[in-house]
Amino acid sequence: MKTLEDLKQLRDQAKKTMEMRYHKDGIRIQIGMATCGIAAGARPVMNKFLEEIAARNLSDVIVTQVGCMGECAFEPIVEIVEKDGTKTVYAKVSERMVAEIVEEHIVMGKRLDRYMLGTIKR
Amino acid sequence: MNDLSLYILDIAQNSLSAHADMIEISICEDILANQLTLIVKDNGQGMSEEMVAQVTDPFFTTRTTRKVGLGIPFLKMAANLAEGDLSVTSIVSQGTTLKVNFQLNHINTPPLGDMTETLFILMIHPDLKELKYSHQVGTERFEFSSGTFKAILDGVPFTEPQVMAYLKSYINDNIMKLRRAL
Ligand SMILES: Nc1ncnc2c1ncn2[C@@H]1O[C@H](COP(=O)(O)OP(=O)(O)O)[C@@H](O)[C@H]1O
Ligand SMILES: [Mg+2]
Repeated sequence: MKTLEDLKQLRDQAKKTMEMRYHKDGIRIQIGMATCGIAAGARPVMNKFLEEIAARNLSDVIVTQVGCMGECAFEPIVEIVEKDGTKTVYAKVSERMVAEIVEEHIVMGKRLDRYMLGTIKR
Repeated sequence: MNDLSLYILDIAQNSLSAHADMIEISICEDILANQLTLIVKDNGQGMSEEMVAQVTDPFFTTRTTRKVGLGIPFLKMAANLAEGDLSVTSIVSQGTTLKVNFQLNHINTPPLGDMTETLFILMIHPDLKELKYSHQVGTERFEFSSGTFKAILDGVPFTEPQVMAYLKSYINDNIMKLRRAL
């Protein structure tokens, strides 16, 4: 069984390794987590984003839940907000699509047109 | 929705929309009384008496993106199908408490589902300062508060890979151990 003592050790290790990760300054991934989003599978999608980000050693990518996106039929909806405010909206995101979105959009900076609902330029 | 952990995530989103920065979730699985009780309490903006009266009505919502509120009516219906019920109490600008119970062994009572995933997703919400969780099965209890983790972590985020793995398995192992009696 894990104890809180173990967490203290992890904290000290993490403080040393945190600087060594790839900084993706200011990208925000927002997942619609209202009733329709949750019913359509938003929770495992959000979880998959967290895992993919961790597995690729990316830092400064914020994965967060937001309220109703107003387009129930397209849930789970994921918005990627760039540092400059540009928003890309992916629709009907499944767990399977997450690794691709992280690899191509977050890491390489290429939007995946085939999954997109739209882009809003700031 | 087919498990309690998803309903709980949905109910907690109402608290976040109401600008709560503290949410307390408690689950009690009382084998002797054959009752499963869930309480979600927040310190958000609360609701007027009139609103509380309407909130279990599926055609009531304050949202503007959709005409109907679904979350609370859904959960009430699920409870009613398992010989249980749902109640909401609230005080404007102090907070809201939602309580729901099910007959523990009723065939229509949804399974618990993955509570760890729900709790972790709530814990990392940037506006939430404190998530308290208490889970009782018979006489055994597991409790934690995200504030305790935060204090130990001293600025290291919950999403830091090793920390995330630790927290998820800490929560999951404790819940599994607790529920072995069921
Ligand atoms: N914890 C809460 N604090 C304040 N208001 C709440 C809370 N929970 C629900 N409400 C109010 O009740 C309404 C209905 O909630 P719900 O049934 O979940 O539907 P929805 O979230 O889709 O509107 C919300 O729009 C909100 O105005
Ligand atoms: Mg709701």
